[in-house]
Amino acid sequence: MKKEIKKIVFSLLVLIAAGISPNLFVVAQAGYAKLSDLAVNFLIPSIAVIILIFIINYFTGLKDLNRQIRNGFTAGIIGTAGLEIVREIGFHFGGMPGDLPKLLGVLLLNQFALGPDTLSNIAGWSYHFWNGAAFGIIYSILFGKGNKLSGIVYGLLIGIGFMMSPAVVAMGVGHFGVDFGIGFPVTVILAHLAFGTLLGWLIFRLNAGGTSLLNTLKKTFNNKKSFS
Amino acid sequence: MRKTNLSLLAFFIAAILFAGSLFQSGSTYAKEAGLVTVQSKESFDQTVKDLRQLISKNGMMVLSELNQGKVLSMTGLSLNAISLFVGNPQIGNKLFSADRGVGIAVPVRLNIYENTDGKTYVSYVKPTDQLSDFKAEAVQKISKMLDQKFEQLTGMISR
Repeated sequence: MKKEIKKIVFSLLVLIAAGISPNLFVVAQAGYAKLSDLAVNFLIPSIAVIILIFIINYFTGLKDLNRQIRNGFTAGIIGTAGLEIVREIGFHFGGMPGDLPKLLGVLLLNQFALGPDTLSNIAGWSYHFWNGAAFGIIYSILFGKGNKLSGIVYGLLIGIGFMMSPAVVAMGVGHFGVDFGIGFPVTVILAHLAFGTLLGWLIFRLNAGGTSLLNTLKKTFNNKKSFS
Repeated sequence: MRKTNLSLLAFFIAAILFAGSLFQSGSTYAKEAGLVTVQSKESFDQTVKDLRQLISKNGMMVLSELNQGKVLSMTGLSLNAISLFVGNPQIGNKLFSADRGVGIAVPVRLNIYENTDGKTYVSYVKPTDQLSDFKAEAVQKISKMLDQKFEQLTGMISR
């Protein structure tokens, strides 16, 4: 019982920490703060929180939550690799207004005026892959094992959310990239479909027997009721 | 005798015109409404390198720079273009003391780019034109001095 409540609390903490990273670019593009400042004040601490919880779980026996974090991370990274393949092809054929990881890199290192270099590209790609891993961790905790369709729907929702966000408007292409052309929504949707499909499939295999946060909550409160 | 004099006169006029055109193409590529464009004798990279050193030698600093070529590479466009924002703290102090609004025109933007013909050009808008709306005497005096500095600077790298 105690263990389940601990799992719920730590799961929620990990969900909040993992949810920070993908929102930072949106906040920065909306003009509220510079991405370089947000990275120092929020991104690095949020990663530290996830690592800390992982270490605490390791020593306190919450191994199933750690397994979900680890699997979500792995599946998120692999899913992002799939997304990047589609995005790069789309960018090559003019379906995207810019090279997003490069843009993320110059914004992260606050060197937009100087343009991208090796270090900023490494920073940008790392941030993009961490975003993928963060979405993977969130999916793994929320859905547990999930099913074959949930990953695809999840990926689609991320893609639609991205196209509706200030991140896209600030690029000068309008919501859903209407001012840029059909290539933009097609590339974004296909890229996020690739992400969601890979993520869903991998989590379905890796998290076999894993419980979703909702199921854990149900189980905990049902147990509580039967005790009272 | 008269025929010879006329031929000589025609020759001199042609020589003067030719020399004039040579002189014109010597350093300045175009001069329109305050915009000065100079063709460099060096490649793009070498021009940028030379200009950085010349700016320093002429008592000025590159206060900031915008590498449009690299920035636009993120959109898939490939080109060589960079803007150097040139000034110095002393000049800035005097200008801003005379009028707080001069920030619209200083530091002076020096634009270096490789054109589609493969040649490298350096362009800037003359400080006297950029600062013409600021009537303070100090601003006008400094802007004339800056005109000379930039003419001298770009003259050193021009073909």
